[in-house]
Amino acid sequence: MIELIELIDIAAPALLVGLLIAIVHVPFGVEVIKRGIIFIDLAIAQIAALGFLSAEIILEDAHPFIHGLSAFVAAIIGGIVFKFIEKHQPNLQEAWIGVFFVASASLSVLILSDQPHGAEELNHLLSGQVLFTTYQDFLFYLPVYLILFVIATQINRAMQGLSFYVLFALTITLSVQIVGVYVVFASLIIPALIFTQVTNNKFPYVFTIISIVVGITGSTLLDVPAGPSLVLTYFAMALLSTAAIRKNPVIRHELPDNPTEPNV
Amino acid sequence: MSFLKINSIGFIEEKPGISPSSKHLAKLVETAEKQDVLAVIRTPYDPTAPSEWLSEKTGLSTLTLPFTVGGTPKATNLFELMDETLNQLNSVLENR
Repeated sequence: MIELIELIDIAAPALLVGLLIAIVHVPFGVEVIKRGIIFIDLAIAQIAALGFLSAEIILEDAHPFIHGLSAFVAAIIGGIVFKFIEKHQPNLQEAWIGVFFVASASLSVLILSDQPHGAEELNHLLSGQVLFTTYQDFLFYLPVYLILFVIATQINRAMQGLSFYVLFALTITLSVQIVGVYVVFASLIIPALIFTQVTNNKFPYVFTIISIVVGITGSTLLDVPAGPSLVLTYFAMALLSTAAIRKNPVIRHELPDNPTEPNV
Repeated sequence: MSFLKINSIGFIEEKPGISPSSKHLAKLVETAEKQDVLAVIRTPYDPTAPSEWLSEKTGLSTLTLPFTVGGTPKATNLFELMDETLNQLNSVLENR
């Protein structure tokens, strides 16, 4: 039984941090889907990673805080560039975002090419290391994410113009360092994907909470890494929920391009 | 490490590059608490979060051993590499 207590002790902070991040991501994901710029999170995450890695290589002996700061600076510059593109070539914005993603990803590979264990470092960045979070980490992240959440949901103009890009860059950069690129993408896009199909505004939050709880608990019980398990849980939940929503006209929000009735 | 008769009792990452599961981490913490463990050892290029996490859980100190010449500023040649490695190991031995 000691092992069970130990297990809970390890999984619980990861669960709390995961829930915190996932809930705060919901309004951002909804906005990203609404704007049709899905790849912005991958691009911002990759640009942040690039900033982090460059600082690590160039300023080798600097404090890890400096590396983190470089990631934020790089991400915010990326956000400003995307805002600039939105202004000048709005219909090509998504394409440009994709281009920036591959460019910064390739540059990261180049930077890491002469580093021992560069591939492992990239892999960690993608699938994340959420199990290494502690209760202290949670208490540190709690106010930061709460502030981001309040700004994103309560201030009307926060999700417009430049402030959206800056807020988004800050949130994504912080989240990527904790849970990795894949979980960030899943927790942003999948609840928002569900959100567009239902009439109830609270449903995406319930959806994301269930996904995180099932994902972390499942990975603990099945003895597999947490990050990929979370992404696959989100995926399974998305398929199940979409099927359920299509069968249940009460909660379904009619999509304009969805005239066909499934086999009832 | 074998010439020092130091045993490795476990790795944070069972498979290098693949993040560990929570069960594996629980086992690692349990092993560290049951056995007479000297320290958590990492190389200079490993990320700091995992070893710091294990240190915090077990109360063991973390050593960043040079791993190779040039791994740390002091390890400038093979002799310095051994000196630096042994000094670090000795300092944990003395402090326990």
